[in-house]
Amino acid sequence: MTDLVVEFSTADGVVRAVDGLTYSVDAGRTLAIVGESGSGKSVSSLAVMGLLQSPPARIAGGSIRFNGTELLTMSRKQHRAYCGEHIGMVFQDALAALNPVYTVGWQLTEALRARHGFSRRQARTRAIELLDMVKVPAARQRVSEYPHQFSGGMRQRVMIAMALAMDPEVLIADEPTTALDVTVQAQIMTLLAEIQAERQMGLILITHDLGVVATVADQVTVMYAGRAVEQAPVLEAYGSPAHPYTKALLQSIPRLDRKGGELEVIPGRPPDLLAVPAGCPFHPRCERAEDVCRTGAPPPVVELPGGRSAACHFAQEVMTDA
Amino acid sequence: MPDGSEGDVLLQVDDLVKYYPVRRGVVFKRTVGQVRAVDGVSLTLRRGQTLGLVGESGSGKSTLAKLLVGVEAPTSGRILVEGVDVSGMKRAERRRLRRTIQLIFQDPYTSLNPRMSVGEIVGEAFAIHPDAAPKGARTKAVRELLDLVGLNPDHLNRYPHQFSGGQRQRIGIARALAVKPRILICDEPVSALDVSIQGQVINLLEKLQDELGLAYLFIAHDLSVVRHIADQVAVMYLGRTAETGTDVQVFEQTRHPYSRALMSAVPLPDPTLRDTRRPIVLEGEVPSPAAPPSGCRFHTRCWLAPIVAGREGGDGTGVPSVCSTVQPELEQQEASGHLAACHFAADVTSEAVGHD
Amino acid sequence: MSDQTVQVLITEEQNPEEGRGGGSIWGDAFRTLRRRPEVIIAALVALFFLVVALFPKLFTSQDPQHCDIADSGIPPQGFGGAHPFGTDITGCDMLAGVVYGARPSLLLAFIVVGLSVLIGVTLGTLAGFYLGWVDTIISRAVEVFLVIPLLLAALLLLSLFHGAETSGVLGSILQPALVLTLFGWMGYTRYVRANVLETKNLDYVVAARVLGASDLRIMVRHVLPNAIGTVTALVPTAIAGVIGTEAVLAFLGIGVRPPAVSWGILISNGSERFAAGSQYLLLFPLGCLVLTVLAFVILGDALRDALDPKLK
Repeated sequence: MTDLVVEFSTADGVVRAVDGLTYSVDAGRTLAIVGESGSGKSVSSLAVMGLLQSPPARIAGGSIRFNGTELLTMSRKQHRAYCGEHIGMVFQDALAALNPVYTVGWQLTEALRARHGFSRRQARTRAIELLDMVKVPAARQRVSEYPHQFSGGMRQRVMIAMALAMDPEVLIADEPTTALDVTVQAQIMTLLAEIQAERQMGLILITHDLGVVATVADQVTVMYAGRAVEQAPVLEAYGSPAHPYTKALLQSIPRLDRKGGELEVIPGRPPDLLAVPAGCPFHPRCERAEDVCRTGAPPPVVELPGGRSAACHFAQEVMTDA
Repeated sequence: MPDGSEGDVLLQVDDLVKYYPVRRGVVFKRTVGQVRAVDGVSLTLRRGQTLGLVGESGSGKSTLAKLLVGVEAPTSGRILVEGVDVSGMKRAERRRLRRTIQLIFQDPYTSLNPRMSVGEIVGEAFAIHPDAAPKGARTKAVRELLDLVGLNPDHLNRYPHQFSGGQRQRIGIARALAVKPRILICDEPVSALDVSIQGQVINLLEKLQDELGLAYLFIAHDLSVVRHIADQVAVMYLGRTAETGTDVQVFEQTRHPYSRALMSAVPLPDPTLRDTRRPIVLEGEVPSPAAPPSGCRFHTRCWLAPIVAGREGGDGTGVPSVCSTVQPELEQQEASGHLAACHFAADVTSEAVGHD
Repeated sequence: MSDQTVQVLITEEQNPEEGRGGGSIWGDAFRTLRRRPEVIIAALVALFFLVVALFPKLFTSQDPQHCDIADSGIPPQGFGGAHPFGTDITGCDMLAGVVYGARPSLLLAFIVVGLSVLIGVTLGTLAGFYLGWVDTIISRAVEVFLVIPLLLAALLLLSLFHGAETSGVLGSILQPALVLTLFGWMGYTRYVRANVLETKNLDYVVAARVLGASDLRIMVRHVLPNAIGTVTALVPTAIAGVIGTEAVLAFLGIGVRPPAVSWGILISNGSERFAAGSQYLLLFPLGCLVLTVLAFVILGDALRDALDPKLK
């Protein structure tokens, strides 16, 4: 994906929810997209899947390529069909994403029956296979139950099974564990990691939880106000963040493994996308901000050694400070 | 409970029980069962202290909060506020009690009445308790409260929707502080907020505690936040206390297999620890509080039980029979004030996890 | 899904630092209303009919009861002639009928809807708030009144009291008003009860309880204002419904009592003559009814939006 721009028209003007986002994910690797609400992290993945409702959304620029195939020039229908085959998606709210009036098995294999002409019997067998794969116990019985009969963690497993039904090469997981309890979250993350390793799938994990990112990601993209402010391998991003936002974010969260005094919080709050500050969007909250940050265009993306980049005038200094 | 006290006891809870009846039938409702939301919980909260209450959904922590603020009545057990039993109180006394304990909510979007201005929301306490502030001084008091929680006092006439989540949470805190409470029950006060805003609200709560000498009962599922803010910690599982003690005792000298699993499941924001730390992945999910397991409520998911059973050559079920038949009581561990409800508490540390 | 996303974005966009502050909720409501042209037109229409109802003499010099059979069936003559809207078969002036019919029709509609809403909201709030036996009694009462066919009951009740002496406009509409109210409150009760059930468990209601607020205060300040939204949307159509039902009652001879005229009576009479070529006899009163109802629908809708602080 390169230079993706997504705009929303709202009653109060045009909002750039995603502004020049570029990232890539390789087979068998995990890319984490981190950001707060409104940073554009979910919107970008919906754009990939062709699931943005337009209007109000409009993809104003950029390109999304999958194995060299451009997705944005396709018709909406082609785009969705293509994604259905190659990219799976798991949503945060599994209850809302499952239709309450159909059995789990029916929903799991809907696409298979529609597109590959599976018979009922074949579909059922496949549904049981899929549920087994995501470790739903007693898959044979549960395949004919309805979503409300599943617990939160089990529903999330069903969602994953559904995303895997078409053997996708890339899986996008949008806050897959946010609504779950800690112990169930651990189960789901372990499951995702296993499935990924087994199938050499690319995984795009969208989350706000820096702990989850540290545990599973290979590569991190930190988003702020629609832009990727830092992209780096996970060890480097946490060890020596090159963008003040990444650095501040890491310092601002309480840690289980140590007791601190007052938290070093980031002042202010994420900007209003209708009125993104001039210059660097982060400057009003940044302790490093100088005059150059306050005016003109947002800072350019600085390429750093080790395949990293950061959109900060002082990326080099921030990185070596840490 | 042994006396490791520094401050005086503000709130004491003895063996609190709340069962919700499960009813069936259209015309004649029969009670067919009970949801044991809270099933024998005891707590002590001292002045200026923060007690962190940790547990997953179904652990009964939110029900406990409702019982403490008096929105629900307990099935049995006692709540003592400053040494006085609440259940024996008359209406008027109970109204006064409301002023001692206040509640901070999880969701800043449903906790403020959308049709009332911020001034009305925060000032409502004075309308209910006219003696809390003299009539002429109410606006001034509201402004002071807004200032105290870090909001612009001039925003008095705005409506909740004009504020962001973090600001709304501050409004909720100001509303609670209006009656000058001594205890704040914080029910997941930051879990609905953005990461960078969470820290701000936590810092505010800590500042207010220092300035006003408040005691907090801090309910959260986020262990990192509890670790940060709490002096005392209680871990709940299916309506019962699994372990309680100081934060160091519970987090570093963990004596209950459930607390241990919970902590190991929290992903740490440090990728260098990835290979040295392995979470204990518990099987299955929290059983229904309508039909809690016999014996120790955790035995169906316990990671320690099979290890102990293997060592002692149990009856082949993989769970020591004592775990599935006898409900463990909270027992004193080495350190004073550290209690854990596990038959094999001593094995929790020796069976090291996460380092193998 | 993407809808939700947009929603989220939009909520975050609101910048409190630049938010519109100050002013009372009604003042804000008034300002919002002024920005919508259809609202202004609707307000003018409603105002016009109110003036007609209050001061019929301003609009016609004819007496609606003074009918000359010699003038029977004159088609509309336009505003120059003696009978601008024409006359009916008994020679009554249509314009005078429509003008003088406004008062009983509107009065009836306002009384019935007003009383029904009052009863419905009160009972619905009590039922939803307290549940238990209060709810059982109220909900069963709702069901009982819902299954009794309105026309049958109205026919029975009104013919029972038909002999009673009445005087004045109020007197002539009192009986239909009471009967229509008796069968008009159930819908509001149901809506309000459902909304109260939903609202009363919201955190801000719990917060008020924790502060020690009385039940009355919680109901009036916290539950009702947030539970009543759908009811305001029902009111304009209910007004139309009442005027329509009044027409049916008039048709059965048990509505507003002659010699008083009402739109319902005119519509009922007009519809008999519709096929006979005198369409105007139906179209004039019907047109007035439709215009009035539309005006109230728009006003009700706008008022609801304006009073909702979230939409400002």
